[in-house]
Amino acid sequence: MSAVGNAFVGRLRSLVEKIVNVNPIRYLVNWSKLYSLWPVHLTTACCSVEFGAANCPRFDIGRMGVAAFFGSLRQCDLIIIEGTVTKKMAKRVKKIYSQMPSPRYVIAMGACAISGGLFYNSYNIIKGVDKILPVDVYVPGCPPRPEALAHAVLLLQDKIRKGRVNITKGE
Amino acid sequence: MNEAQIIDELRDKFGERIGTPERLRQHRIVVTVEKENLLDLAKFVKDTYDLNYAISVSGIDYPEQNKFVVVYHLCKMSEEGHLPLVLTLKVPVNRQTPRTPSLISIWQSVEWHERETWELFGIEFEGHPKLERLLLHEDWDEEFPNQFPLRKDFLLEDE
Repeated sequence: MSAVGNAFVGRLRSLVEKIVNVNPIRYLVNWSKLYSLWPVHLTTACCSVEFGAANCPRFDIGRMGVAAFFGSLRQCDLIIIEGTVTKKMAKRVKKIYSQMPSPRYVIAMGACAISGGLFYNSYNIIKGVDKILPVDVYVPGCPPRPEALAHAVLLLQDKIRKGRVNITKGE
Repeated sequence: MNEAQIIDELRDKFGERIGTPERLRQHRIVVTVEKENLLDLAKFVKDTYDLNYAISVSGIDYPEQNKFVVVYHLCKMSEEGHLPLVLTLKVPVNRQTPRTPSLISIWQSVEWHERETWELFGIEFEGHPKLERLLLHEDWDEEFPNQFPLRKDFLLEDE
C-alpha cells in the first residue's frame, strides 16, 4: 500500500475509534462482546476440574455467555489460566496468548496462577501468571469453587461493559 | 516360588558379590548390589524369574554417608497382569563421581527413568544413548548451573 493510502487508513482508524467510543455506540459494541466469550482449551493444572464443573449443568456458566472450551485459538478471546504454570509451560502459554486475536482477556484462576500458591518456592514455577500475561480478573482459592469462577466471569463482563473500545492494532 | 526360595537361590548364585537379599514383606525382596555386579545380577533375575518390566528408577541422596543410591523396581507383566513379586535392586554410588552402568540393554523401559534420575540427581548412566533434558525447563543450565534439584544440598528460596 502506498504511503498516502497508509496515512488515510491511519486517519480512518483514529476517526473510527473516536466514533466508536461515543457513548451509545461504545455501549453497543461492548454489549456485543459481553456474552460471547470463547475460552481457549488450555489446562495447566487441577483447577480445570472446577472449570469443568462450572461448565456443566449444575453451575452452567454458559448461561452467562461463556462458551465451552474451544479448540481454535484464532477464534478465542478468553484465556483462563487454570492453576500452576511451570517455567516450561510459561513459554507455551505466552505463545498461545499471542495467537489469540484482540480484544482478549485473561482470568487467573487459583492460588498458583495468582502467586505460585503451594509451590511458591519451587525452582520450576512462575510465581503468578501476571509476570507473563496482563491479567484482568483474579480468582482466589485452592481450587476456587465454580461459583467463584462464575463471579469472575461477571466481573470480567462488568469490566468489558465499562471499558473503552480499542481498535488499534496490537492492543 | 516364594520369597525364601528366591533369596536362597540368589545367595547360592552370587554369594559375596551381592549384599544379603532381604525380605521386606510378602512379595517384596530388596537386594543391594555394587555397580560392578549390577549387570550380571540384572541379567540373571530377568532370565530366571522372568522379570520383564522395570517399574521405576529412582535416586536417594545420603549426604552424610557420601553416597547416592539408585533404586530399580522390577516386576513381571504377563497376560494376567502384575504377578506379585517385586524385586528391588539398590545400587550405591559415590557422591563425588556418580556413575553407574545403564540397564537399558536389559530393560528398554528404563530409558526415560534413567534420564530423569540423571537430570534431577546428576547420576551418570554409562551406556545410556540419550542423556538429555527431559523434565526441567530449557534455561535450567543458565539459571542453576551445575545444580540438581533433588539433591539435599539444593536449597529452595526460603530455606
